[in-house]
Amino acid sequence: MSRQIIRNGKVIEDDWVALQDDDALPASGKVHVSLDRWQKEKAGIVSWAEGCGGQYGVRIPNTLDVNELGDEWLILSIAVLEFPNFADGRALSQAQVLRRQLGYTGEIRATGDVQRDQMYHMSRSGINAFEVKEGRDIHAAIDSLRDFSFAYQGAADNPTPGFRRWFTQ
Amino acid sequence: MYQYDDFDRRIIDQRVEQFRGQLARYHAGELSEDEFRPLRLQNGLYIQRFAPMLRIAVPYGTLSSKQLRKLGEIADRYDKGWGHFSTRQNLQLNWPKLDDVPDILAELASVEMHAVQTSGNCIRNVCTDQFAGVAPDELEDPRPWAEIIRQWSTFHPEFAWLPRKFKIAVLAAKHDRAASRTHDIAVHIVENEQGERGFAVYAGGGLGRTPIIGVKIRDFLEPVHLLSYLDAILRVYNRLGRRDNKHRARIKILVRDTGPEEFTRMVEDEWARIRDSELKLAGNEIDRFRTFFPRPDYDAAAASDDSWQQQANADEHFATWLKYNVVQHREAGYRNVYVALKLHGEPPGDCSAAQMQAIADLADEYGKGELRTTHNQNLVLTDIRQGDLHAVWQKLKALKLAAPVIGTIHDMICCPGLDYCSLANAGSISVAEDLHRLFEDLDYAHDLGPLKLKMSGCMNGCGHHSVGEIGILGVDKKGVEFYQITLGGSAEEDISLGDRLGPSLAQKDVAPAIETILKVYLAQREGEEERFLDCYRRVGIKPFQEAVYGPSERAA
Repeated sequence: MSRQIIRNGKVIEDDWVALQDDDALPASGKVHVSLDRWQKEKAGIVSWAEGCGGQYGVRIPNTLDVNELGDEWLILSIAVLEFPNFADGRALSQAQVLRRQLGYTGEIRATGDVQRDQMYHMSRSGINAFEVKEGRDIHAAIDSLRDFSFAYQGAADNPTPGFRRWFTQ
Repeated sequence: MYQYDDFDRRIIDQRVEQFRGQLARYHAGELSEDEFRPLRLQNGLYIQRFAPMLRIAVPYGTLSSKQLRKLGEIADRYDKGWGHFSTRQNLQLNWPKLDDVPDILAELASVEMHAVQTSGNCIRNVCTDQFAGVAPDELEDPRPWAEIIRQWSTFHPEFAWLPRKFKIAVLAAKHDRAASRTHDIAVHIVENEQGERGFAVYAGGGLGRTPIIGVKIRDFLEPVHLLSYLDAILRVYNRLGRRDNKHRARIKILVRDTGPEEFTRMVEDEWARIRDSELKLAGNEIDRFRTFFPRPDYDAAAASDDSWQQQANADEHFATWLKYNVVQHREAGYRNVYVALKLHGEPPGDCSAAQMQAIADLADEYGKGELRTTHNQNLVLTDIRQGDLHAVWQKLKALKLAAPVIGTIHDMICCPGLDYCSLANAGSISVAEDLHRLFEDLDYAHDLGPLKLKMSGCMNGCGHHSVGEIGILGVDKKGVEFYQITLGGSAEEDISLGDRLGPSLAQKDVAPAIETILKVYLAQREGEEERFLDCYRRVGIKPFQEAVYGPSERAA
C-alpha cells in the first residue's frame, strides 16, 4: 500500500517500504529500517541487498549526530529524517551535514509533520523527498519549493553565497 | 547604507507574496492557529491584547530619511498615527489590522524594508552601536559586518526553526552601547597583538527570566571566517539546544549547562569541518560590503564655525541640551544628536507619524539623510554640523523632542507593558509616568548624574530590567501588579546583572522606593563625579535595603 510523496519536485508513488523492526525483509525491493535495526542487522541487510538487488536506508532520529555513521553513508540509499512537529528544525542540520560534509548523494526524505510552509527550507537544506502530511494538498505543496528564486546564503542546494554574484556575474 | 539590487528586491517581494498566501490559507482554514502562529511571527506579526502588533526590522539601527518618512506614512495610514521604537532597535506598530499586513509589508518593501525574522525562533535583527561609523571610539564601522550577518541569516534554511529566538550584536567601539553581551552571540571587532583586525566572539548571553552574560568563546577570529564560525555555533545550538521547555531553550542555557569550555570545544570541532568551505569570505567581498557604507563628504570648514558656543553662552537651555543630548563625532566640526523619545508626554520610545516626518526632514536638511535607532529607545541624527546645532535644537524643541535627559533617570527604557502586550503582568508605562512626575524637577535629575533605569512589564525582559542600574520588573501576585526592584546592573563593557533589593512592591510604593534609593545614593556618593553604579558597587546593597525596607528586613 503505497502513498504519494514528492520526490525531486514531482508527485510520485512511493517505492520505498518502511520496514518495522519485527517485519521480515521482503523478497526484493527498497526498504528503510530504524537506526536500531540497522545497527543490529547491518551485515544481514547488506547481504540481503546483494542477493536480491535491493536497496536500503535508515530512519534517523533527529537527535543523532549524523557524523557518527561515517562511511556507512556511502552504502545507504535513503536517509529518512524526522520532523516530529513542523517547528522542530534539528533534521535541517542533519540534512546539511549529510549533503555538504559527508558527501551523501542518496535520497533524503522528510517524514512526520511535513508541510508546505517548511518545505522550501527543507529543500535548500538538501532534502529531496517529502512525505507530505496526510490531508494536505500534495500538489499545491510543490509550489512552495519555488517560493524564492534567489537565496542570500549558501546551502546544500547551492553552496555559493548570494553575494558572490557580485564577482561572478 | 546598504542598497538593494534586483536580487534583494526580489527576495523581499517574494516574501510578501508568500505571506499573503499564508494569510489567505489561514483564513480559508487550511492553516490552523498553531501552524499559522510561527509563520506570522517570522513576519513580525504578533496577536496582542487589543490588536495585532507588527514589528518592523531596522537592520543594525540604520534608517534613511526616506525610510523614516515611509514609516510615518504607514503609521498614519494603517495605525493610529504612532510607532514605538523598541530595545531591539526596531519599530513596532500597535494597531495594524491583520488583513492590512501584506499591504504594509509591500509598502515597506518599496523602501527596502521588511518585518522578516523580527520574531519567532530564528535569527533576529542584527544590532549594533547606534554611532556605528560616526563614533570617535571605534576601530572601524561595524555595519558592513552586520550586513554580512543580515544576509547570511535572512531565510537561512538550516536555522529557520531553532529551539528559540537568536540575537546577534556586532560592536567595534571601546564603549559597549549595544548591550552586546546580552545577546546570544556578540561579535566584537578587535585588534590582536600584531595589530591585525579580527573578532572576539561571545556566546550564551540573554535576558528574560534567566539573565546570563555572554562568555567569550574565542579571543580572535580572522575576519574571513566570520560566517563559518557563526554557522558552527548555530549548528551546535540547533542540534543540542533544548526543545522540551521554552524557558530552557535559549543558547544561554545550553552554554551554561554544557559548560563554556565544552561548548567551545563542540563549536571549534564543527568549525574545523567547515572553515575552508564556500563560507569563507574573500577580501574583495568584504570590501564590496564596505562600499555600501562610505564615509560621507565632510566639510573641513565645519570645525571653524564656533557660533554654537556663543549661542550656548547666551542660552542655558541650549547649553544643557548640548551637554546631555549631543555626542562627539569622529569628524571635527560635526556632532551626533539624540532625538529624545523620552519625557515628551508619551511612553518611552513612542513617536508620532508627524514627528517621524519632521525628523526625516531634519536628517535631510542638516544631516546626511541618515538616522539611527537606539536600544535605549531614542533616535539619533548623525553628521550634524556644529554650526547647525542651535537650529536643530530649536526645531527639535518645537517637536517636543529636545528634553535634555539622555543618560539620566528620565531616559528610562520601558517595554509597552500591559498597555499593549499580551505577555505583560504589569503596566510598566504607568510606573514610568509616576517616575517622570517624581523627577519633574530636571535639575534634580541632572544632579543624579548618569543613571540607567530599565523597566519590564514581565519576566521576558524586553525592557532590559536585569541590566538596569535600577531595574524594575512587573510581576503578578494573584492577579495584582507588583514590582521587583534590582540594583547594580549594567549592559555596557562593565556588564553585570542587577541584585534583587527585596520583596516586590505595590505600584504605589515603587516611585517612593526609587526616591529613597536615590536619597541613599546622594548621601553616600563620594562627590558628584561618582555615578550611581560606581557608588552602588562600592557601598553594596545593604544601605539601600535598609532604607527601603527597614533594618529588620535587610536579609529578605
